[in-house]
Amino acid sequence: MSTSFPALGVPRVRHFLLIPIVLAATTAHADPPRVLKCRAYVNEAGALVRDGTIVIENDRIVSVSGDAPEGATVESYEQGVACPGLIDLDSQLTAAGQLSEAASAIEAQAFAADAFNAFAPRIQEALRAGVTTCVLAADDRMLIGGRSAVYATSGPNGGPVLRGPGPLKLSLSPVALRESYEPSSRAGAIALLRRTVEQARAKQDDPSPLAEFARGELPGFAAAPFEADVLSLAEWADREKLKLVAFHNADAARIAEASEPLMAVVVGPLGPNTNPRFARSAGLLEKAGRKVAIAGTLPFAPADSLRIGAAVAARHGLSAEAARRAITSVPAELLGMHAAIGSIQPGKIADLVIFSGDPIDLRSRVLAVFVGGTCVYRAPEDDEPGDSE
Amino acid sequence: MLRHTHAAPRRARPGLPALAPLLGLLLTQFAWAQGRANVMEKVTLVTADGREIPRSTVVWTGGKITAVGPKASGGFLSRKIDAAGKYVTPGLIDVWAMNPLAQIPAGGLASGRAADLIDLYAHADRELAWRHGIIAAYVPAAAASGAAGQGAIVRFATPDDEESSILSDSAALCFVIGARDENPLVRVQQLQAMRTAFREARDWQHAREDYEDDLKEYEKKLAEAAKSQPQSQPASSNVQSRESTRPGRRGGSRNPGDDKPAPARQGQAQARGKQEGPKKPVEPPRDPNKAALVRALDGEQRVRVWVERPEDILNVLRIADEFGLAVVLEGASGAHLVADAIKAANAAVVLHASARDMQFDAGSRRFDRLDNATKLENAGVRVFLASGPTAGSDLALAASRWVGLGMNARTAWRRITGEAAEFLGISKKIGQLEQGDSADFVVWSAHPFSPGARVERVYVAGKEVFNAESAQERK
Repeated sequence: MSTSFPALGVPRVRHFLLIPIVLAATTAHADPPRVLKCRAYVNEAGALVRDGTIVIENDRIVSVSGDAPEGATVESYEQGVACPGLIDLDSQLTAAGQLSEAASAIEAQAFAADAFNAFAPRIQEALRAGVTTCVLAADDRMLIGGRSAVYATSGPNGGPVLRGPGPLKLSLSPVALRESYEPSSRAGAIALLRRTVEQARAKQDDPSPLAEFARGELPGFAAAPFEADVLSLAEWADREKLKLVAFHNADAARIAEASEPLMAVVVGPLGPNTNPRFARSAGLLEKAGRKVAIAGTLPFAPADSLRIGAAVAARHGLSAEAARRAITSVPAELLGMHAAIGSIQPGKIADLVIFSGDPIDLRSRVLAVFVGGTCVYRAPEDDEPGDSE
Repeated sequence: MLRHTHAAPRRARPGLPALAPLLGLLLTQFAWAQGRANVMEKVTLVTADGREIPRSTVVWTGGKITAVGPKASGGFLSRKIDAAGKYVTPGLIDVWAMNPLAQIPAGGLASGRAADLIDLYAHADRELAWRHGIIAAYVPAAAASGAAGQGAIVRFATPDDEESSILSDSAALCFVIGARDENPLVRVQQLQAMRTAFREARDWQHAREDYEDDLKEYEKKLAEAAKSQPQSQPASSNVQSRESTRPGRRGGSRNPGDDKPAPARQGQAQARGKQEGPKKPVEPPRDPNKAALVRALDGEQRVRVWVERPEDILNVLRIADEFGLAVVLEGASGAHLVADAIKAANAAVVLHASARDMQFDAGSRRFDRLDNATKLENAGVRVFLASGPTAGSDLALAASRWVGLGMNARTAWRRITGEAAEFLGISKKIGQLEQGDSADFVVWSAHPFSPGARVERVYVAGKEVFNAESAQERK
């Protein structure tokens, strides 16, 4: 068919010339590998390992130690320590208004992504503190708050972007109790929770988040302010074979052993004013063999709340490696996203923070932040760093 | 060869070999009476001015440090205490720690004392401080607003310590201006009340000084009258004109220009003035609150103001300038915006360790910034870090965060140890780790700023008052 394309007014034979030009153009936009050379990096066990040469291609980490490929641009951070991007499991930063229904205690179908505000203020501040992933969920005022949403603090347009759905949000907090309708008592709340989950499990092949949770496929993040709440959740998880994570920010000395059926216990926010009896919970949980994560609860805490929490926990018994894991790889595991984020390993998304020293040493500062392989923040050069030993 | 013979009979002078055990016993008694020396060897010292000195030894006897440094040694009778590899530092000093009990109701009670409300037997507070390595703190008198009272300096020793645990019960005059998210009108009224309080105190001071002068004159006149006449008139009240301008009467009008009672009195006084005999001057009523303010006016006492907003800070500095007060700004989250004015006023700033959260805030602390301290330091203002409204902060952790935000590490360390003690005026007693000082020090597992550093032991006046391991077991 040798008709010319009327719109272009060009004989058809010349269009074939466009194809290699277009192909060449698209391949020219593929990023050349980028190499970050650091003094050290945090490995998947949370330990500091010397001499990181992190090779990034597109948005993935290709290799961590070893030689840089030829022809790659090398960024050298002589004092830099590479850390996986920090993950906050409990954040309302991108919330568009309130995420809790006042009129009902159970909104199993709600999805926090529907209340996501990509233009929320202060995301940049969190990003500059090294937070690359956050979880948006309903607050503690709903017995079943619906599905949470996981988002990256920087996306292609520069603002935060949704990465995917997250765990189910539950709450045993007293603020979830209602005055004039169910549940108005703790026993009522637990009974209602059990009943609702039982009903969801009874429906076979129900794809809803509640049914997935009931079948033990989807984790549930449950607010558990009191020790009794943690024990109730542990007992429930054990009996019904559920995946539960308790958010408990008080003394854990007496529940460390009993919380074994839970996936993990999340503490936080912790700060310099935290009661030492609460601050030692993370260390006690680690000694009992439990997985510990530390939440930042941004924006209800300073932007570097995750690091402060890790530092406080480390001063009260949590090992340094567990402290680094508590804000990176353990949150990624609990979200079910540890294949993609949470540690610096080949094949994972290049969410990285370069610190001027140990990430849990508050004397270190952020030198650069990478999300998906793109450098989204670089600290200004004229900042005089404090002496970090 | 001369034979040395004793002049005295032998039995009165026993030979030296017989004396030796007696002497030895006396010496040992003497040594025990002095107290056995205690030694910690192979520790890394972090001195009050921030130097790290490895492989050092600390020796103390009783409550005082007798030797410290790489060359120190204890002597063969000393008790060795194992601390090898640990870090030894002077105890940390908290220059602003609010005691929840030291709340005096608002109402201008400048003479109220925080020291009266401190419970020296509250073990929980002391243990919390020791857990963070803090051995002394300045506790302000608190109020909702206005003149709050006299701050106190507490040393966290055991209550049965022979050294008093309250080092000072009138360390500073405390004010609170606009720290509770008040609206602008209320804050204007607070500032006006502060100004009026100082003005009235100054007037009262002048009135008392005049009274003293008048009293001397009166006594002189009495003496003269007694010499010249055997009988002297009974003294009656009122010396004339100056009485009318004394506004410092208790219950008197706040407005110094108001002198309604005076003309009538003046008339009477003039009428009576025609009488013979000196008149005894009327003493302006004593007023402990005004006396407290006068001490600040005379420069004998510092004024500490808890103020947050930049505009309030500027107004407080103006009041300080007007009355010649030495002022310290506490809280001061907005200070970075007015750093130059603070520097010009030569005021010090005390920031607290609780970091502000990320939300937009309409309250008094909305101008807080993470680099507040660094900006102030760069402008030449002296900044201290303290616990603030929540007592018992982990000061070392908060200071290490300051270092991460740009402050020099040694400066940050000095501000919670040696310089803090100087600032509170207690450095002669505690706060340094030098020979002759009180043996107050803390044993850490690592450099206090490093991650995972923990307080292991705290010594006050040479006695171990806190041990992290046994505290853990007790719980």
